[in-house]
Amino acid sequence: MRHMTPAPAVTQLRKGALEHCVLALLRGGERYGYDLVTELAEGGLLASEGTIYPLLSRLRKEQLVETTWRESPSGPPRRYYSLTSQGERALADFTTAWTEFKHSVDAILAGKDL
Amino acid sequence: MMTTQTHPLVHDYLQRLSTESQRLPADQAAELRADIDAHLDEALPPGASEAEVRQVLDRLGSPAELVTAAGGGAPEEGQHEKDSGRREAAALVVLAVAPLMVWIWPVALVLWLAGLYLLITARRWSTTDKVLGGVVLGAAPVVVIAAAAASFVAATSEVTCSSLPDGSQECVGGGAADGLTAGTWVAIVVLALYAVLWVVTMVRLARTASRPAAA
Repeated sequence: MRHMTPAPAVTQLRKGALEHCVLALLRGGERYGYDLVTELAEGGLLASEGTIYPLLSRLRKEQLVETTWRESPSGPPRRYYSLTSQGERALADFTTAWTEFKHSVDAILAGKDL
Repeated sequence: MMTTQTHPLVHDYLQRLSTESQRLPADQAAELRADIDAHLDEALPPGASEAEVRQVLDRLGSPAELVTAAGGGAPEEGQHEKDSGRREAAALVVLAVAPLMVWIWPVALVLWLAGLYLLITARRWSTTDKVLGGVVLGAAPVVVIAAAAASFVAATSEVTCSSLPDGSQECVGGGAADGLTAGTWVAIVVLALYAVLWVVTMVRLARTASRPAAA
């Protein structure tokens, strides 16, 4: 993975989108923290892997995700995260808003009339 | 705890994390620590090489960054590490000089208060370090004054002699045969123990303060 210092605008965008990307990754079923981190980092969405944990903790407090502990085949038990129905709704709302936002920005960047 | 977490770099990282986590409420600090412990257990294979450890820690982000992301006060990146090292050094120097100045007591008092202030507001020391420093180093001027007072009293204490009926004299007080009373010996031992404790505390605080703040 190539590391560049992203523009502040990109950092802000990433910050805003990140929590919904986490929700989206949980659509397919529960996952544990490190698993989420690896996938988000591969997608270039995480500048610092560790910052995902405070984010997950916040999502849990906002009841968008819930957690359960499960035995791991190797090592200590893992904390698994899954979507709550509230989390599913937040994800659906964001998906709609994001699609509209993306179209508008794309159109303006391309110099087309709306 | 897994063996990988005993790697010096990991140990150092976790130490800095717990220092930074003082900016967080205790439950949040504990949760962050548990998450990071679990992450390291997953990310570091047993017997990981130094390069692997460094890579994993780099990707994790600095402890200051994580604590800030968890909502712990304002970040003071870069500048903060530099300042904080100076503050610790200043605290130790000032607290070491203060007891030497007791004969100019206003100077000693100002130095003493300034030293304690720097000690308390320093960021590289844990609460234990600060309490230890405050008690041991902070007590130095008092100990110096007490020692000076004790030696003054010992030097001037009158030897009381009384004539016995047979014409000989019996003396009690400041002058035992070897010139030192039991009380003086106790004072010297206490003072020596305090000196050892003082040096140990100084060394401990200096070492914690000089720990490199690798980002």
